[in-house]
Amino acid sequence: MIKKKTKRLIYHTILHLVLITGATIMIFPFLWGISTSLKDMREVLANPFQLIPKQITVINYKNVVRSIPIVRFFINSLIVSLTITASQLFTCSLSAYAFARLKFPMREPLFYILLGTMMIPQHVIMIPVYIILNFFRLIDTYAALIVPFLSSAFGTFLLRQYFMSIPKELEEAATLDGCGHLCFLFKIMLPIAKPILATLAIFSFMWSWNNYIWPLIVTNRIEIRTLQYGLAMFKEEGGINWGQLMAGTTIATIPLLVIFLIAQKQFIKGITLTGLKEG
Amino acid sequence: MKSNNRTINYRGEIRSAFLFIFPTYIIILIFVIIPVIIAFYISFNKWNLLGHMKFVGLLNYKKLFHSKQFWKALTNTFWYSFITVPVGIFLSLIIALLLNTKIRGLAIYRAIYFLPVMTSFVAAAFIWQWIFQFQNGILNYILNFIGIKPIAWLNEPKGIFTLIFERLGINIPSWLGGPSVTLVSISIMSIWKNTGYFMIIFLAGLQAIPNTLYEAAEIDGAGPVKRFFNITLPILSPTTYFVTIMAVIMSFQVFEQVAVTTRGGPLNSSLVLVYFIYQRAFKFLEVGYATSAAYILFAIVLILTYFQVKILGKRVHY
Repeated sequence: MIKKKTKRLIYHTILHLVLITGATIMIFPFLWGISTSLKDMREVLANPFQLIPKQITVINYKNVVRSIPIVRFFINSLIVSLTITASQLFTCSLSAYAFARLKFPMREPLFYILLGTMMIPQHVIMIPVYIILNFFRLIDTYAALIVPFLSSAFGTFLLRQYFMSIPKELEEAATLDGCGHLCFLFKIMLPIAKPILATLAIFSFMWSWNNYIWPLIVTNRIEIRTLQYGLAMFKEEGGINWGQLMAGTTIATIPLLVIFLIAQKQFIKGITLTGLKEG
Repeated sequence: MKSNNRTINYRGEIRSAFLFIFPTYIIILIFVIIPVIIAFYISFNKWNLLGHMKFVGLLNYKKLFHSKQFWKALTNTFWYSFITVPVGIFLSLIIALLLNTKIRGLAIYRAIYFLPVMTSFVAAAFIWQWIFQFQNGILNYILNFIGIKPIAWLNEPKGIFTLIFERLGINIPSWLGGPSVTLVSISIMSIWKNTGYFMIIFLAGLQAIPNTLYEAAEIDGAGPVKRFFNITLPILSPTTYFVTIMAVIMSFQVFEQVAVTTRGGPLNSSLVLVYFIYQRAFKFLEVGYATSAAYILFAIVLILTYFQVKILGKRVHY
């Protein structure tokens, strides 16, 4: 009995050591980035490897705000990402429900076409999408950043897999109560589907917040650029000032961390529950 | 009366269904399906985005075939995939297995390993550029500590094997040089960035394995190694299958890491397909030419996925 306990203790200690080593590699670049953002220029050059700055300063953050319209970029990113996320939650719920629960002609082919579009790399279609947006005179507007992503095949697929797993009996009970499809979807399905909605929300927010190539292509005016593009621009114009660059990077990363921490529990549950693991 | 009622119901159901899928389908139609068709047409034209399109048949594809830069981009992309996919999958599986035990601090570990996934490629590239610096970079600092001369991580067109053997005083033929040091550095950065994503998916797959299976195996006297190969790996195979396909597709679409750090350089040593496409289309306005390269990328992804489905699909146990 004691022997087994010691064995377990040794095993767990080794496990923790391995995991901590890995975790250090994962988190170390962040810590270093944050640490650099809190040093003044002299210290960045003098003690680049000092993890805790001798003198903490927010001068880099002040300079970033002064030298590029980062607040504007931040707000732009927020507008774009929130709109896309909210819209995807809504449109994908609707279509996923139809594909999971309703009977209609051409259901299977329509679903498989949708699934097939997931295979198409974004980069193959970016030129025609640019042309289409240009045709509608939408280049250089918020619409160009938002409209193409108002719904997604991935989101539809993700939610459909989940809806399929909810027992049919629930629906029959609801229909007897005189609840229509829309009412059933919103009153019963979606509350049950919270974890998977959180998963979709995180994915679509993360994807649009971090998207770089699309704003790069469809925006010219500085006022509507998003954070990622703004950051890259900052580097081009200012040469490399590591302290400021890291300050900008930190600002760009924080919202995602906050969202992840809030939704983490639901998110993990959502991934575990769905067919995401089975393609 | 009853059957009549059902028809009305069914008709209502059809109407609701089409209303429900309409928003999604219209977006996918306008911004994915139609563009794929337009792209196919553009790839047979010479066009600079502003003037008239000129139909040139297969000329763009022929030009690509003879373009040294395109071949360089293609080989680099294959190298990148060849490095990042196996290493990434191996690491993420190991981490998922380690995290699939009941230990303290599980949620914290999970969050930390997932952290790089949440960061943007732009931000990650900045941080890594800083780590990879020639002077004052932490990586070279550590190497210096153990007596290795500094390496120009993101500015070294030499092959990785060439560099290693050179340091050992041996000259090897250039065709044995392997991918450039720059490309390897970018791969390292990507592995760091993506491992957490695959880890989470593996973790989901692992958690779906019922504990009773392990208990039964333990009673039968199966050791941990045997249990891993006879239970975990087979049951996990659909997950591994999914992760592999995703990883390959993602690896062929590598762009940001390159765009933010090296822009394909030095000497095209880190030029990858999507960056090549981007450059041709939006810097040189050779839209037809760029689109044909994009179609080749699409074809490669399709063919690779097809073979994976054929070959790996057979080994999956559902």
